[in-house]
Amino acid sequence: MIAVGFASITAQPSTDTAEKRLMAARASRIDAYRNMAELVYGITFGSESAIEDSKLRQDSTRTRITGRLRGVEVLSIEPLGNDTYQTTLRMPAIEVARLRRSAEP
Amino acid sequence: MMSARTNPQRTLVAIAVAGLLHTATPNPASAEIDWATAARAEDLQACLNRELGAVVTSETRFDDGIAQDRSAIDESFDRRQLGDAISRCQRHTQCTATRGLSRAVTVQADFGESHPAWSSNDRARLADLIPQQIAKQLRDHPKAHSVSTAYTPEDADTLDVSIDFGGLGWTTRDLQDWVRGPRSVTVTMSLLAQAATAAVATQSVTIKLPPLPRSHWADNSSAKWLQNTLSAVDTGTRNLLDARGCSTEIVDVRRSRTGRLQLDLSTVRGLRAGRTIMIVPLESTQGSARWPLASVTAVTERVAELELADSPAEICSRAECSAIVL
Repeated sequence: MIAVGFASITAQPSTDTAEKRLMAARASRIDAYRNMAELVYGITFGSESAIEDSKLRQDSTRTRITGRLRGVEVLSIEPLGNDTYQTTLRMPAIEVARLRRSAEP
Repeated sequence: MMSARTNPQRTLVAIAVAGLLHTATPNPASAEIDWATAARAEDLQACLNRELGAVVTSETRFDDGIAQDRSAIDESFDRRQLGDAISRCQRHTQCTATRGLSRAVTVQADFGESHPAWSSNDRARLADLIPQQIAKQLRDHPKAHSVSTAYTPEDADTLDVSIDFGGLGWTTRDLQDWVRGPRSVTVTMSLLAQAATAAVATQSVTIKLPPLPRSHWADNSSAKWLQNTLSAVDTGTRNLLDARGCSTEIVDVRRSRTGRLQLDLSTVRGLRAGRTIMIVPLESTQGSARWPLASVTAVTERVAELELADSPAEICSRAECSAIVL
């Protein structure tokens, strides 16, 4: 199973260019882990709408992903174009099966 | 004032004193590690990083069409998780890493409820002899030693022994006086590994005794059933200890009062100067950060002094650390 994560360099909250690049590399790694967790465990989805006097007052949805990932191999963390970092992760199928089994209630 | 240039004798003394000071205060980054050990450490760390993994938490909210995303990965781990990960990374370790080392083992024996088929005399005999037999095995085994229950290191291995009695007790007293009913004793032994969540190995032995005419005297320690039971306990204990023989050793790292890095040897004996260890900070794998290697420079009964090979001297100042003997 392969998961890819991205992060923008300019969006990072730093004034130093080098630090922004490091932060983007790290953020893309976290994004890749998040995407891998989504592939392994799926998403918990919830929504809430509030109606007052027959009018929609509030409409919110939440998605939540949580779980422990083991056996992840970082294939690459590299720049993609001028403003993006990309991280690619791989997890063997046997490990995916093991994690899913242990997550079953 | 006389300068060193004008007094060669004084210059020599100064150099000699400097040399002495240098050897008395070891450079924290001077231990040399051979490339094969360093490569083995790198392989082991890569496997441990994979096995320790990370906990991912991500939440995305869409409130009235506006998206907010918050994702985090927690890569911290504790000693127990490290122990579990090591047991899954055994293919990256070598049995030679445990050469000369002996691991502390505590014995916990739990005797089942009394049973009508078993006399209190026989039960008491087993309660005496089984722990004695296990203690003897621990004394003789090259890679284990027992520690008294009065001083048990928190992370010592535990040999858990449970003894359950079964059988058929006659309800008629007349019959009970002449014939002893069929009996059984089950000895279950589990070795709970240092800092791991699951038992490393379990052995269960059941000895069944047929109905026998009751003799006028009590069985002594040479009775066949007792010898069979003790022999099974002997084999079981040896098998359990052998199962841990090649397991990688984890030792606690601490800082002495003077700030020197030391290994706590309460769970292990036999570590000698010159051995290489890998220091594992119990905070975060941080992806690619290399765990430092160190060399054992001196060993006392309780601690081993360490010399770092390639790492900042402040390691293990804030985070707790464990060490893996390579």
